[in-house]
Amino acid sequence: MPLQQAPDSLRADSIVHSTTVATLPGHTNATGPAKLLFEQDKLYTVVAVLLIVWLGLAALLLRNDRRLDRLEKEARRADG
Amino acid sequence: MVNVRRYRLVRNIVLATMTAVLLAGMLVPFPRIDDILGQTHRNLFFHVPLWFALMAGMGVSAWHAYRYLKTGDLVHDLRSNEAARVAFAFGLMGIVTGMFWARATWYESAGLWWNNDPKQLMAATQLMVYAAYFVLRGSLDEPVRRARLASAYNLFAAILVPLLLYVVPRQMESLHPGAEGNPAFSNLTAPAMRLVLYPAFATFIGLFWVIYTQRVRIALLERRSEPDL
Repeated sequence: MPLQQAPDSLRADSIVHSTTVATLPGHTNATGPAKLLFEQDKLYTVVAVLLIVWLGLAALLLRNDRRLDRLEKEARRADG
Repeated sequence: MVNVRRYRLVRNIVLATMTAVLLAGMLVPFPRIDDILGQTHRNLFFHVPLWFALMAGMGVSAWHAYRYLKTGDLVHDLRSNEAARVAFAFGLMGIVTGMFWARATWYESAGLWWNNDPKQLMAATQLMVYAAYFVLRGSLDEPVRRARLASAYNLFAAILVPLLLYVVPRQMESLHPGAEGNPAFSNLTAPAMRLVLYPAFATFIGLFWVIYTQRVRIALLERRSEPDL
């Protein structure tokens, strides 16, 4: 008995395909296709990664400043 | 020598606005222009400000080169050097991000990374001119002689910035927006994007200033322990 084929709408590739950016109509309003892009295309994950990278770099910058503050204080003390 | 209070203020503003620019640049929906650009018009917020930071940074560098030649104070030479170094790093990021953007748009079908677009070529030339500045500095050991030669060269390099980044590319056929006279902001871009783009310019220039000032503080400390440096 041949395997029964799943309806097109349930096949994995058709689901993936239906949510890729390439198939979206040019988005003219923020709710429709833009919502699809942001929510279903996992853009939020990329934004979260970007934010973590940026905050990590900012933390390093702040830590460098702390070390500089300490060294400058020592230098001033040495100068009397 | 460095106004630490002002430094901290600028730094904290930059940390906040950069976070806002990143979020707005990625998340605010803007009208899609065409299939070639796709969502890459968002690169405008991250690629173009790098060049504004380079131009501002080279301006700071040239100013301190001029001040050195006027006053003979080696601190100006130190500042000129650090400004050029940080601005150069922004320029390298600008070239590389531009290559990625061009690869995905102009050269999408050609599969190229580089096709001697005049604007890219002139930008690369400008970076070479500054690379020579660092080579010149590295080849001179005596601080006063180095400062004098480097400052004079720096002024010539800075004069080239508007020529190579603005004038010459405008005279040649280029795929880069702006060739038709309107810098970067062509009619292809939604006016609403300016609301993110202009804060991005200020933020990237601010980030340049923060890193530059941090490096000046480090260099001043280094100079204390090694006066001949």
